[in-house]
Amino acid sequence: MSNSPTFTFDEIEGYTGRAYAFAVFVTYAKHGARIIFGIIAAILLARKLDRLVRMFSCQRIEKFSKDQADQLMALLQPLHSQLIKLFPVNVQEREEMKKFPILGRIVTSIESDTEGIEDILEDIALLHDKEFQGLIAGAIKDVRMKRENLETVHN
Amino acid sequence: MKPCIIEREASPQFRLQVSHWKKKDFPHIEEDLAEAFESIQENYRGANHARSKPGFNDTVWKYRQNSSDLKRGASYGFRIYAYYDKDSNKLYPIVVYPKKMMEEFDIDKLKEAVKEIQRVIQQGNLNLQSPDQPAENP
Repeated sequence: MSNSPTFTFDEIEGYTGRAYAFAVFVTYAKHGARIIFGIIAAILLARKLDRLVRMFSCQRIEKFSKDQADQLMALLQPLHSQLIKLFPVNVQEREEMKKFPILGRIVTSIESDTEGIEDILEDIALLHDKEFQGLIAGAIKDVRMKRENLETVHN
Repeated sequence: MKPCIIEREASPQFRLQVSHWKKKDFPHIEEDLAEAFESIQENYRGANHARSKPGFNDTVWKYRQNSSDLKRGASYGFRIYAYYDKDSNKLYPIVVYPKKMMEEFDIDKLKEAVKEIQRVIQQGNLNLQSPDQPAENP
């Protein structure tokens, strides 16, 4: 993750916009039952999403200013909503979709990257959240204390 | 990469959360976590969609694990946060919470999940303290 190239804010912003456009194309194809068009758009969408998720490395997210984080949240949330619309709500139906040759792989990839986008949204949302930071810091402190106590007993 | 050691019992907070979710619609959480830890210990930086959590200098990692418990026909996944200690090569799971898969991102729901974990920990700490109280005030 630390070896991932650094992207400028504008690049990330532009890429998010393009991924959104592809997600809209796939939704359009799905609703119009345009199978071939839908598959091609889905392949391109899967590629775009894969790259987009990689752009948001931990180091990159840490560098976002509050304004940039807000801007990205505003861009990523509609993309995430659009992606969710591509999948059936029912678990069984979703699992059946994954069994199709070729298409199944694309569906799995888009599903995983949709969860990835949600992880990024969560990272951005919790970056400056005091309650969350306190929760994690408290848990780490307890674990360290317990370890030190154990070491003292052993010594 | 050298496999790391997962100290799943080290954090009392984590144990409290697991028993809370187990009682609350996720009876197979322990099996699901065992499955996750099996792959995470082999590669804590790559397994289960590992993500380093921003703001913690590569010491806090987040993982995904599917839940085998279906709730009202919807699939759920767990998010696991773990603290990695480089010196001892040990990974300490500290936070776990379930989330519905393929659901709209809702910042309020996320913050509510954080609050629920805090409530579970506080309640658990109170329960742990209460048996000692009579001894303090005989």
